[in-house]
Amino acid sequence: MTPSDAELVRLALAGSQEAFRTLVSRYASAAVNVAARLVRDRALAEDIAQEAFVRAFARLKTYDQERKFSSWFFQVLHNVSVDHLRRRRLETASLDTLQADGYPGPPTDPAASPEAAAERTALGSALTTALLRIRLAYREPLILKYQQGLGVEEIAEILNLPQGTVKTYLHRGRKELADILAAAGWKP
Amino acid sequence: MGIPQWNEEDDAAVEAAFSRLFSTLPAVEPSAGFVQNAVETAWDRSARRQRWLHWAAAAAALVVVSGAPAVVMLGAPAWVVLTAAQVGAGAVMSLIWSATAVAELWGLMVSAGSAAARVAVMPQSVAALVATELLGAAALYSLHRLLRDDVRFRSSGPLCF
Repeated sequence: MTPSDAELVRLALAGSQEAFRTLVSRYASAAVNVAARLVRDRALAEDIAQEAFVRAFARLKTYDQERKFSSWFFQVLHNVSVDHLRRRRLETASLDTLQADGYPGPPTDPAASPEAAAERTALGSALTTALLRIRLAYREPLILKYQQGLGVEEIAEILNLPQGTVKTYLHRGRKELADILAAAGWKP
Repeated sequence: MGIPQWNEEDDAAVEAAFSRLFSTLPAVEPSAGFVQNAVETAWDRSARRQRWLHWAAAAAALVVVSGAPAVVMLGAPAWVVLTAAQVGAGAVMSLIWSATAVAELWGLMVSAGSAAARVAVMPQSVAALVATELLGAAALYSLHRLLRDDVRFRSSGPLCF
């Protein structure tokens, strides 16, 4: 039986390195993916994700086990990312830079035609670029909602914002994203 | 595959379209050693913090245990004396005023007591006191005699004219 996040936290607090390793394995991919959408390069995204895990471990005692661990952890990740972005004013990255930094191509459906797969790859790349061009305030809720599949309530908790503000940011973010993609030649 | 309409009337359709759009994002997988590095860094930093806390506690205890006697024995540095004087002066000011008032009152009482004692021990004063006492005694005796005669006169029986 797979232990729950709360059980792993209890074991980690009791000194189990293995429990914490399981917890990190469970959220590593999500953490790196979210961080990668907020900053321009992959290595930096890994650094931010790692710092989030280290900070989370240091503050594990403050985690309220009534809450979802994912919400709490994404909140830590958000704080680490914001701290980093405040320290370094990041430029928007070009797609070429991102690909040179080691971003893999978008996921492709093996059953899809070569044309459809190529279009999907191109759209994924365009979306990556577009995301880096919109405001961080809009970008983060979009990523948490559409990439991580979180609800508005959870996003509001993570970003420490009212739900109405999150909904507004999502609405404006969608509009900006659609405008950028349309300007790049992508039609509905 | 096109981009979704961001402002469609149907919210569910917009949500579904954007979810599909985001599924095209290239996944960024963490490198092979990421988990191991994160766990080791977390553990090392936690151990380092614990060591620092222990050292800090030991240092604080050492300062308290050895610092206070050292200050007493070796003499406090000038800034310690100055700071203590500044803090002490402010806090003790009202106490000093109160003590001054009490001392002044005590001084007045002492002066009054001394004056009374000095008067009492003077020979003339003693003579005056004795004379006053004797005069008082004589006055009392005379009054007593007058009152006795008066009582005798009153109890001589009913007046007969």
